[in-house]
Amino acid sequence: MRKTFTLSMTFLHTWGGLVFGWLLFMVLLTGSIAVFAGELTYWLTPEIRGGLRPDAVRSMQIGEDYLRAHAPTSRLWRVTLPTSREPALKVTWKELGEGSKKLDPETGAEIVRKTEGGSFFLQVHEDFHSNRDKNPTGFFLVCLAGMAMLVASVSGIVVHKRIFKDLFLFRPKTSPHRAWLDAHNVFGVLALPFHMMMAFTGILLLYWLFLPSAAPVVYPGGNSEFRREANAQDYRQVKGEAGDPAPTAPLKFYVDKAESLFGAGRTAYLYVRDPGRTNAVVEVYRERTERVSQQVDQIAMDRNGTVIRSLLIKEKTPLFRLQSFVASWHWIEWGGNLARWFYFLAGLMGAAVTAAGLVVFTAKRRKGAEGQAWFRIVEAVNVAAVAGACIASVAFFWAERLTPVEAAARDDIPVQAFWVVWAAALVHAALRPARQAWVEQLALTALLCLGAPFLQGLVFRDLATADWVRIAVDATFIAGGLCFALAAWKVRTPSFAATLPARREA
Amino acid sequence: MGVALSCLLTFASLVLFALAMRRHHRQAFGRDPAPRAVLAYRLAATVLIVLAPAPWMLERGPYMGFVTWMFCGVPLVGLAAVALFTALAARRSEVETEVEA
Repeated sequence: MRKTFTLSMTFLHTWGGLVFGWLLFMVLLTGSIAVFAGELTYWLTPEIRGGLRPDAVRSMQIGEDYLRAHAPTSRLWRVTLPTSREPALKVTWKELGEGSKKLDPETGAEIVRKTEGGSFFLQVHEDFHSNRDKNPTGFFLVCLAGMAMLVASVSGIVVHKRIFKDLFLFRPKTSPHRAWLDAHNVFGVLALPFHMMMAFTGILLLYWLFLPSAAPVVYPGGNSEFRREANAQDYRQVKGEAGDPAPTAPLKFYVDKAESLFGAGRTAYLYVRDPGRTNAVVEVYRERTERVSQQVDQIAMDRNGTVIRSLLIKEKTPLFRLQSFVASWHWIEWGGNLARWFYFLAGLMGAAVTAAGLVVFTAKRRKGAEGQAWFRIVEAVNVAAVAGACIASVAFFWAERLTPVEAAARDDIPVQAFWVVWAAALVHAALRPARQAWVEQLALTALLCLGAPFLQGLVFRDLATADWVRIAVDATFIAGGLCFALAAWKVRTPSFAATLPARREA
Repeated sequence: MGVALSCLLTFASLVLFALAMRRHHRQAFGRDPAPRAVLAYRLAATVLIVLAPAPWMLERGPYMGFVTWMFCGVPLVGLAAVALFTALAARRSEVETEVEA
């Protein structure tokens, strides 16, 4: 193939980076946004009152009352307690009637708005918002992109090996192409450990989906039996004959018992299997905010509060805990706001590496290939994959805000808006000259970002109620809008870097 | 406090790594570094970079400290330093150009 190791690596990095870069940018962008999935759902649900500091005991009582009144015959209940990130109480019931509701954690009033909220971005990040049980294409595309990211990271070190020699070199003013390359290197090198870790853990997390035939060979019950042993999950799925009616104690009784084992006030959510029957089982799950652990402590009790199953992380084997520790690096549920901001920004740096890399690809070849059909296509797809993905993401928020609460299939409309806008961005990029397309799409993203907080004037309400979570989202939109405006401005100026005074090179 | 100390240690370590390079040593001192000095710079830099996460980890606990340092702290502190020094250098060169003009 290629003559030397470096040349083959360059080939791999360049072309693999180009093709998968288009996918990767979207995966990295939505993944970064999804870090704040809970906060965004809260922001997208104005019906949840601002400034709530819900009391866990009272919320649980409200959830329990609601389920007893509305789903007395269902065989599986779930109550998710409100958090400071998303202060709504969630109740879900399944089997013999199925439903899910968000409630005001203090009054118990139903929140009627149906929305995917921030978890939409989680879905796009995971499998391009496809149903991976029905059609795993989207899921495997993301997995391929993740592997390509690992490959690009390693081959990138080989290709850009000058980064070791020029470790402290950043030349924003020498030439546009060099500046983009340096930006690519700066973002890539600084966050390299983070990016490699995220790509690696992203693939590692779903090992049982990648090796689908391994578990059924060892476990007669297949994946679910394997997972039950591996991480004690999914017990709630085990369904037996429903027993005779028999009263269960108030949920607080079980929660207190569980919290005596894993810490007071640490309950995140609980399941009740067969409520109000002799065979009722209550499973209480601990939160994972201050532990770097993917698996959570979970206690299952029978109707009388006798512990029948428990998983306490500290009692598990070192290997189990190591797996749990590493897996949790990807799903950032620990560390609070500080770590989430870190992840958000470092994730955006990953998106920036990808975007800068895509631009370098065209900047390097513009002289030789300008006017050729394939180059035109690459340029157009670049614009749509980067700027178009940004527009589509912000358009999702606009569609969420503008779709009436009572619209039919309400939660689908913003999702469709996302895809339609992305497709429109591709068409626009194909019709316009590359530079204009960049400028217009970046400028549109900027406008959408700047406008989003002001839709329905909600930013003023957030300010008036000192609702800091929502204000932070508003402020991030504004900051993002300014960044996009700056980017549009810079790209608008013809070869902006060349017009700046030459750097005085020592 | 521990966070700041970790950042400073990292920065000091990277300065030493830079000084071990001919080009940067010349920029700083106007002459090439002696081979022995290169070794000394690198050794000191390595010791500092290994020690750097310790204050951070002491403050935030070993697990949380390790994870936040490795995957979040280093890249973002680095980016902030790059942005800051690039901006400072740009400003200084502008000022110098004005003075010369």
